Parts: sequence; structure tokens; C-alpha cells
Amino acid sequence: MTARARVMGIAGAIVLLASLDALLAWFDVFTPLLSSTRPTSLLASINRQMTDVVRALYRAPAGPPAIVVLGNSETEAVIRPLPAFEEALANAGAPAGTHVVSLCVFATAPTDAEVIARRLGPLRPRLVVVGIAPPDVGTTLERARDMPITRLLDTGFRDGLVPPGDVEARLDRWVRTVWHLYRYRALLHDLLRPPAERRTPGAFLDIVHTPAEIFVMSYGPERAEELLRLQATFAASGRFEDFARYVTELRGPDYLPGLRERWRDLTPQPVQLEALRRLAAHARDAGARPVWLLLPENPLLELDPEVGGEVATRAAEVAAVVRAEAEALGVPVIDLRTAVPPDGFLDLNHLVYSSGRLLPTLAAALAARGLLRAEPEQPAEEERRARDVAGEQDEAEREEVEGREGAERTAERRLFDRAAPRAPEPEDGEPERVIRAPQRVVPGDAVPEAAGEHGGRLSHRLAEKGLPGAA
Amino acid sequence: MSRPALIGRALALAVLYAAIVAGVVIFGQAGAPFIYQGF
Repeated sequence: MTARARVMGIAGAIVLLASLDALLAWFDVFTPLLSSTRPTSLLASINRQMTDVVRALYRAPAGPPAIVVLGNSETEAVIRPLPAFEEALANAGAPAGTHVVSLCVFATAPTDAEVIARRLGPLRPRLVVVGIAPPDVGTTLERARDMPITRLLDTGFRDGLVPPGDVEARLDRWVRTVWHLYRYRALLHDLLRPPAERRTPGAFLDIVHTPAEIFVMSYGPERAEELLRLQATFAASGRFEDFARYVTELRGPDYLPGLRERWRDLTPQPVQLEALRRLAAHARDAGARPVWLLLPENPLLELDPEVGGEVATRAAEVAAVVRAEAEALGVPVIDLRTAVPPDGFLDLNHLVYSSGRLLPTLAAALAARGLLRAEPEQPAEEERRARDVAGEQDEAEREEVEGREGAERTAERRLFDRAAPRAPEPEDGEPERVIRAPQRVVPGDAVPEAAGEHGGRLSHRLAEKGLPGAA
Repeated sequence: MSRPALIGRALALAVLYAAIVAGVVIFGQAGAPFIYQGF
């Protein structure tokens, strides 16, 4: 073999790889590779969800401007099944054909959602709904570094809100910023060679299911039977230990310690609050209205012997801080924290998946705030002020993304930006900064009780149910 | 080596090299996509 053939081969390989990268950048190659079934394990599900996020960001869905939802598994558990949510929205007055696009990825925090939200322009959403639970706002910078979106997708050349922890991480970030094949390697891996595990039909998430159906589909009939038996044991005894046994069988031995760890010493983290501010700015840049959703909280968590005593206080503190931020930014808040009794939860922090239980309540809450109107609202004066507060550094990162993603998408997005005023351009060399909003309790606008038994303190609710811990 | 033979060989090498790189990138990864913390 001649040296000349080898040199030409290397040059040709570079051209082929560059062509593949251009293909990945401009065309959705993921959809044709998708399996008709979905994974059931956590890690494979995360990869599948990230694939869905990447696919969704190539173009807007058909129909009127969509409602985009960002968050993690707790948000996902509230909004599924999406067809039922869309029906509830239509019943509440949303324009016919309004689609809901879930960009939720398990095990993520607002810092991850902020990275996704930089690219919302092509989706042309009407609303950008962000699900928020206390542990999300309490996610430290160190933990945020290890979360899926921050760790695997395009976070840009700049440090952003979550700077890389070391040189290797910085190099990894730079490489995945410029090389799509490298960025999407985990997603392509699972598409080309799906992990050997139990899988569910692709449409399983689109239909309302009972917990028993979900158990059987996800774990098989034998384990489902055991889970139902443990559930019944808890229902009979009301003892937290019995619930812990059930939830450990359901989620595995790491679930409860991990959840406790996230609640222990939980305090609102400035980095996550800044991510929420930037999320609001990104939504407005994409021509949408941001909405924050305070997610349902399971009162049973307050019975946990290790962290239960602190849960109510810490949750209230986080809610107050989020509300104060929302008021400063002019973001509507929908408070679902007490909207579901314990029997509506699958475990200690997720509603029963695909139950659709809260969808009419959520749709009605959006309608009551005038968020489902057909005509997008012009941003009010307070929203303009909010953009001035939240949009500065954020604007620089967004511009970087747009610059890389090409003129066509940028042009399309700027067409929408005309409807909304732009935040001021950052000054050269301006350091990354976290803006502190006033932290005070603001009047609530909680959703009317869906369960009808959440008006009082936990102890009263427990007393009604005859559970331990009642006052 | 004749010109067509050279081009054919270079093309085959290009595909081989590109496939190796893509294969290593996609299938050579290791580790979970995140640290599990009770989600």
C-alpha cells in the first residue's frame, strides 16, 4: 500500500466524519433509528429521554404554538400521558391541536433545563412550563456537574452556570461542543445497540394506567405481585417502615438513602435560582411565556425518621424563595404542592406515572391565569424589567449557541424575537455573575385543593387517615 | 499503481478509518451518564 493512498484515505476519512457531523447538526437522524419500544431501566431511560430532547429541538411540532415542559422525573410523572394532557388543555380552552412537548429528563436540575432552554427557538413554544421540587433548587454546583444534560449534551465553550470541575471535563465539554458525533455518542450507542433489558411498548406512556398495570409492564408479573403485596401491607399498617420496604423493593436500595441525602441540609442554591432566572429569559427569547410549577409533595416524606422533621420547613423555605424570584421576574407560579394525597404517589416523590390525575387541575390552573389564550401576550412592563435582570450573561451564551447552529435557525428565531424586547448586550469581559433577587414570602396563588384534604397541616391530614405522626 | 486503483484504495481506507473512529467514539464509551442520587 502506498503512502499516498494512506494519506488520501485519512483525508477522505476526515471529510466523511465532517459530513456525518453536518448531517447530525442539520437533520434528525435519531427518529429513523428509534425503536418501537422504550427502555425501563433508569440509565437507558435517561438516554432515551435525551434522544427525545435532541429530536424535539430540530423543529416545531405541527399545529398552534406548543406547550413545552421542562423538568425531571417528578415533572414527567405529573404531565403524562401527554395525549390526556392535551385533551385537558383543549377542554380548558387551549387552541385546538395544541401539542405538549416534554423535554423532561430524569435526574436533572434547573441547571440542566437551562442548557436545553437555550435552544428553544426552533420549537416556537407558547408556554415554557418548568417543574420545580425543593431538592431541584437545593442541587449544589458539585452535584449539578454530574447531571445528564450538563455531562453529555452541548453546554458551550463558556463556563456557564456550571463550570467544568477539572481540565479533563473542560476538554470534554469543548470537544462535545464542536463534534456532534462525540456529543451524541451515548444516544447513538443505545439506538444502534439497545441495552438488553425489559422494554415497554412505545405507546405505553400515552395511555392512562393503574399502578398494577405499570408494575406488571415494568417489572413482570411476579415482582408486580410482590410490590402490590407490600403496598397493601403499608395500607393496612400505616407504618413508615412498611412503606420503606415497599419503596425499596420498587426503586432499589439506593433510592431512600439518595432521597434523604438530597433533603438533608437542603438549602436553595444560588446557582439553581440563577438557572431559573435564565430559564425565564430563554423562554421569552423563544417568544413564550415562562410558567413555574411547584410540584406535588408527598406528605409521607414527613414521616421519614431521618429527614422527615425538616421536610416541611425546608420545602416552605424553597417555595418562598421561588415565589419571590417569580414575582421579581413576572413569572406565573402554579402551586401543586398539596394537591395530591399520599395514595396518588408511586413512591415518596413521584406521582403514579401515567395516572393523569392532576392534568385537569393543571390545565384549569393555566387557563385561570390566562396562559392558554390563542394570541400570545406582549410582555408586560414587569417582564421587560425581569429580562433586564436575568438576561445578561445568558444572552451571551445564547448568542454563542445560535452562532454555531447556523444562519437559518438564527434567522427563524429572530423573526420571533421581534415580538419581545431583547435584554441588553453584555459588556466585554463582564464576569459571570449570580443575581440575587429579594428573598421574601409573597402572597400565594395555590391551586384549589384537588384532593380536598390538604388544607391543614400534615398532622391533621394524618389524623384523618389514622396514620402515625398525627397530632 | 494505476489512478483508478489508487482512488479505490484511498476510498476504501477512508471508509475504514472513518468507521473505526465512529465505532470507537460510539461504542468505546464507559461509565454511567450520571451519578445516582435517589431520583
